[in-house]
Amino acid sequence: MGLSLLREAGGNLLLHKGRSFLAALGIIFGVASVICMLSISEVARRDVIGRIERLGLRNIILDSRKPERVRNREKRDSEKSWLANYGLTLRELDLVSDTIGPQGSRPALDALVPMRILFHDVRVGSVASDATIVATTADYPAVMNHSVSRGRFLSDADEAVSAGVCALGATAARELFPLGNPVGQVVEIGSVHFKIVGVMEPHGQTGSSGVLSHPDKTVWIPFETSFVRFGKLQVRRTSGVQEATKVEVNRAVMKVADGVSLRAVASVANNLIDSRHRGGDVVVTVPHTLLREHRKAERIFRWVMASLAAISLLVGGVGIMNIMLANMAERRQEIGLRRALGATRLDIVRLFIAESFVLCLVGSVLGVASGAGLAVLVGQLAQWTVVFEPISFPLGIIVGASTGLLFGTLPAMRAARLDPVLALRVE
Amino acid sequence: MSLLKLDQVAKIYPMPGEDVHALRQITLEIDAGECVSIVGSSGSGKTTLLYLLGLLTDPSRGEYRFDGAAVEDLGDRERSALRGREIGFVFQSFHLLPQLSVLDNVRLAARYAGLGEGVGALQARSRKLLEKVGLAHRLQHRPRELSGGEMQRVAIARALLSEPSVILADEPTGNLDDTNGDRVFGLLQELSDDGKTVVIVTHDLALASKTGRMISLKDGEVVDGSLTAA
Ligand SMILES: Nc1ncnc2c1ncn2[C@@H]1O[C@H](COP(=O)(O)OP(=O)(O)O)[C@@H](O)[C@H]1O
Ligand SMILES: [Mg+2]
Repeated sequence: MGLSLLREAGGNLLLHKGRSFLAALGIIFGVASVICMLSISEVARRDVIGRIERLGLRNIILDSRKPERVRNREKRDSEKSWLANYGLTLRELDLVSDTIGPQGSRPALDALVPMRILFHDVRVGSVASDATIVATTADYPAVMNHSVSRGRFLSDADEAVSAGVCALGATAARELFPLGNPVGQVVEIGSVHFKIVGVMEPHGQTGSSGVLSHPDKTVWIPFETSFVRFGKLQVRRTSGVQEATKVEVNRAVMKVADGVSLRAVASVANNLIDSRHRGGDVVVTVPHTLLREHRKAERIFRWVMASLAAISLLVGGVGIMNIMLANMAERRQEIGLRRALGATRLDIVRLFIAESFVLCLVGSVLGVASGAGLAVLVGQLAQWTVVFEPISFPLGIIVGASTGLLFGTLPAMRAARLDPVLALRVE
Repeated sequence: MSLLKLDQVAKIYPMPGEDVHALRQITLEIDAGECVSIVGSSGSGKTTLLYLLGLLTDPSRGEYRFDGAAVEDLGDRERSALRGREIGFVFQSFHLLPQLSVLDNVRLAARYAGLGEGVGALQARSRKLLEKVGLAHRLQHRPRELSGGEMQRVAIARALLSEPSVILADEPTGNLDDTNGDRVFGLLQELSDDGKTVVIVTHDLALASKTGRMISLKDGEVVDGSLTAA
């Protein structure tokens, strides 16, 4: 298709600006919605993948879950006070690492980090935070790939002496100390004072739900300290009912050493947990597997997105076709005249296809621009960082313009088949 | 040798019920440089004959030779090239494109004529032709701003742009008053003086009698051969 033909087509379209714009609307909307949808799904995708990746792709996670029987009892005996005892125990952690054992000459696990959730408030004077208190060990930053911003994280020495120290997640630090440097200051957890030894870098959400998925809103204390200062039993009072919970370990994260089969370790862990926790009060999660499953689901999602995109472009294309058909009927005499002036049938086909091509090309450029604009707007309203797959822009334009070629063909063929004698007749 | 030659040509439009015989057994020769008028009542086949001569439609039967070449043997591309380069049409209802200026309407004729001419030269020639038909001062006007006579003169300028050897006019004065009609008719006659072959369909016998030859059609047939004017 020559440049002069495209210019002529563009000129013809400009002769009917309003009608051309209306004709292009379908394509504009089609391409815009595709671009916007692609961007939003890409944001969602990166968010989900990021959360899974931050769980640690070399990690195996054991989580204590409140079992069904406890939950039923909560509902039934909502008047009474009672004790819930479930989940992983400290003794089991040793059992797990013993069972997994070393792989040849070296250990199969780089580390095994326990976590225990404590239901206490954190405050500094009158400033309170709803951050989660998590008791853990010195290996936590290495296993969760979460780095220190100021000061240091909890140490083995802290653990050995059950020190009254803590480290703050980035958000918790900002909430409790909006202005100053928290390191060296003291926070009150429950009614116990803890000295802050460090603040962590912002990390983002890990996993999908639960208090352990928000490391930035967390205050860490040494694992041993939690038992010394707060005991094994935690008592929560809600509207006069006392609920005592005895969960020694809420979560244990094992980091599998490089070169050791993640799958093999996971299967050992699974067998062990299955045999000891038939009630389903401990769940094994392998982020690596999670990611793979997610990618599989993502492929399906992509097909769904692609079909939606195809449908919206189909609608746009049919719109173009209809308007070009109407256009053709309206320009019947012009077609006759062009034929009388020496246009071949092919010339007519080319002119009309060029017109719908230019229309769709311009329409899809506008569509890409407005789709990107819309995505940015949505991103601002929803307060997320907008991301685009760069390929989506040229792709949007190519697909949009091809829609023009495709759906412009039928009207163009009709125009070319028009008998010049009839075309030139004036009713 | 004659430029346009019809031999036993018929044009039949197949219609549900009964076929329409628009032309029956037309045998006709028109020489280069002749000025011929075709007369007849409405529906007698004048337009069909003219469009046939102009390669816009094909005979159902018989043979048509354009400058010696059997039209039947020509493809769409060759016929279109002949229409673009050798034939200029003038229509009763002008067929100017309403969105284009007078100048652009004339220049449109170069679009398919394959003149191989630069934009500047084309522009200059278009102006000159508009000057010739007395419209040098209306170049940028839209057709709707012109009178019928002026529009038809634009159409004549357009028909002349590719310097065709044949001008075919279908009732060119049909939508014009007498004064304008006379002027347009005069312009067309002048063209034959310049050596062009001019065929004018009209039902105005007074005008027709001014042409070199008058062909009278009735029900798709030539009445009593061709009359040659004095
Ligand atoms: N495309 C067509 N389909 C069917 N009938 C047609 C068609 N074109 C012309 N006719 C018929 O052919 C006859 C001659 O028409 P036409 O050449 O337009 O006559 P004129 O120009 O002398 O008025 C008329 O009866 C007309 O109805
Ligand atoms: Mg007629």
